[in-house]
Amino acid sequence: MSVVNYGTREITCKIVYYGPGRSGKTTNLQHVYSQLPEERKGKMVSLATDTDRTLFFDFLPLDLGTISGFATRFQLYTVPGQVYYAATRKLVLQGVDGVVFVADSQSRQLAENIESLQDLHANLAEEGLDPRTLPLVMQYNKRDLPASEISPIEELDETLNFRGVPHFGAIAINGGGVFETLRSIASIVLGRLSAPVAKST
Amino acid sequence: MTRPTVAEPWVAAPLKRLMDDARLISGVMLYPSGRAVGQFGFTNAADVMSVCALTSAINASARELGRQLDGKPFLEMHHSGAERQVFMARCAAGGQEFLFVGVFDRESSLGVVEIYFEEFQKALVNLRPDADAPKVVPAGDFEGELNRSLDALFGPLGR
Repeated sequence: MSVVNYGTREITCKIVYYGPGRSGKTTNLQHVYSQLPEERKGKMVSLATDTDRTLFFDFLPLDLGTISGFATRFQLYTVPGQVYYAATRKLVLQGVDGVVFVADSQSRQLAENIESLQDLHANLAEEGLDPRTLPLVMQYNKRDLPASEISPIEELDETLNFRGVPHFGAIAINGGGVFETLRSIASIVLGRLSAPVAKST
Repeated sequence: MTRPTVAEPWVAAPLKRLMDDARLISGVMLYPSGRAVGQFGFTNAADVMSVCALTSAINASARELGRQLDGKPFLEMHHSGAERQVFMARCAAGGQEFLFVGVFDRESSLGVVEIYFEEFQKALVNLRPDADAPKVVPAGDFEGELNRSLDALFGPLGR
């Protein structure tokens, strides 16, 4: 859950990029890292194999600046998508505040997308988090591939986005849709904090 | 030596004592999930977050490795580099489990760190994590400031 430290006036939120293997989760973080000014980001940590597949996780700390007197920071994580890294995904999901589900738009990857989404729901439930209410944004990546190879966004949305959460088409390899997605999940996660604030002021 | 920076005041005194006695260069106490409780020796919040994320992951890996190889979780880890060494271990306060990671150089040694970490553990046992920290709610136009900050950093939605 979001950590609001009233003593040090800090807000820290954890966002996890989830999705099947090779869907573009790490690419999302790499683009964010490459575009943000030095003073707004920490080092990007990537625990990957020799073939560049995420072994454990990627991690990128971001500084959003001061909002209403609180230093606000985001911790962006990815999980390894391959099915055999289930234990790692559970670990990374601990304390999550919001999830970006990065789906692979390729038609032949639809089953993997569905399996990964089901895996996400099962792991969230194990963590005691309600998959129906946790902040979530869908990203349909690889929209630059030939139309014959990818599913229409409407079709992906129909199959994967049963909650009707915000969704974005993306071409993470060149940055398309990456910041829109991050902007959206950040707004939802931090917006949740303002609700109790409004009540108590 | 500077004083520790703590998110929870109850840990400040024992952390300062450990830092001084064991001659640690830097260290972080954190929840197993990776949330920092207190730190010393770091000047950049992003570095603290990175150390916490990695320590949390190492702890989970070591735990499982211990279960598989030794039948029970490993409780301590030590890595020796060319100039600096890292010590990681678990501790508890008020029934809550925490992790600690400390960095030291030739001014200290693993044995010294272990001795004073044991004292640190004993000091923590009788302390209780403070769940009743005074709350000062964010003031002003939280949503407006949030949107301006997000716009500045990520660009406006629907651009």
